[in-house]
Amino acid sequence: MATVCPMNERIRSFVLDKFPLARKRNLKDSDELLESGILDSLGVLDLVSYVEQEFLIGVADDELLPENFQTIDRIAAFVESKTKHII
Amino acid sequence: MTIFVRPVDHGSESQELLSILHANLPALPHERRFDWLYRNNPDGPAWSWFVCEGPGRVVGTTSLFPRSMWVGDKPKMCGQVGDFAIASSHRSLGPALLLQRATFWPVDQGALAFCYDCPPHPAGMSTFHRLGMRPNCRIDRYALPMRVDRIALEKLRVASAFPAAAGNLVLWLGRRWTSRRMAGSLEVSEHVGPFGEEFSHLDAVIKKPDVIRARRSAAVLNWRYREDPLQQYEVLTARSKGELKAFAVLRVTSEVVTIVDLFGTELHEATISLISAIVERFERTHQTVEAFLATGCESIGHFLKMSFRLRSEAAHVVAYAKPQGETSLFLQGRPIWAWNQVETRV
Repeated sequence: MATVCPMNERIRSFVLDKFPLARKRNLKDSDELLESGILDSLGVLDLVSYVEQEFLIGVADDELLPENFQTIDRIAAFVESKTKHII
Repeated sequence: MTIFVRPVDHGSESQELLSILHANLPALPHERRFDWLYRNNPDGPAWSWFVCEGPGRVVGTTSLFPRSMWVGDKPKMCGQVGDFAIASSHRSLGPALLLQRATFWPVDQGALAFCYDCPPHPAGMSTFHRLGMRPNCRIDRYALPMRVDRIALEKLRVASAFPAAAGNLVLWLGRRWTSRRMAGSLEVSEHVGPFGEEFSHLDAVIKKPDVIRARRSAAVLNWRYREDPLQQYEVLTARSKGELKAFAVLRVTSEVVTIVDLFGTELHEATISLISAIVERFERTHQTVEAFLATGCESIGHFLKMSFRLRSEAAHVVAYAKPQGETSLFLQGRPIWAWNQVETRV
């Protein structure tokens, strides 16, 4: 039985709620968000605002890279790596 | 993987530039316009940048095309951002931000007074939101319907020609009513061949301290409208006793006539005369005349009087000037952007 990571779940809820194309597909945490067109640059902007507010982190411009925002798994890993640094 | 921006050498890297443009902006025939747009612009060659992932992989590009402008009553060289293309796998905002910032470099170096971009849709504004920049003005589409044949066919789906004929008659009567009230007095004729020095003279005499607009020297007009490898234009001039007062540049497709530019002195009189002539010329063959005008520009009132109506938002203009510089202060003073479509099209 697959375990559901709460952080993935929160990010997934936001993506499903905000982006209609994500709702039309059976979105997996490993699905490409950028190349599939689910997220465009404006969508990334919304997503960045969301993770900054929801997880109380700051995202620098040079962190807005595909490797951090390509999939829900990667976004969750990125957020986790940022929150680890918060004391 | 590290992502970075570097300048493009148009001499040795044009094929790589064309490849990334083809892959991400496939609708345009980039080869056919490359020399014209990137190398032969009388205002100067373009600047271009690649955004790269690692040492060799180009994942995006953008360019800055020089545009001579009147910034108030001073002629200045500015730049328009265009051909902004990023691979779908890299539309994560970071690469776009790097490219957008690169276009500020010639401005910060003092080579340009300001640069500007004209995002046509909200997604194009995302980098500017992130950079904390707001639009300086908005460009709207205005339209004057001349015939309803296509609408009757598409919307009503009727075989009878009666609804279209009735609609066309109503529009024709409306235009006759307008033209009776608003008769233009300038002599309008088609201008064929190159633009001469009288156009440069007209450009030089029309300058206002609170207005920004593109320069319309003969050299620029010839390059833009007579040498464009992708598009042909029709030009109408309005004269008084032979003296050039204004002109309109038209792009004509099978159904729509677009007023790409309408420029001149005595703008009220000129707009009436030129639009009346355009309508007379195309009312039997074309569905609509359209124009793209910046909010707050003087021409809007004249177009509205000629029965044009606001139809939709077409683009935003976002300008960057060196902070605290002369142009930056000018832009903060909320100048009038007297812009037609010509200023927003690369």
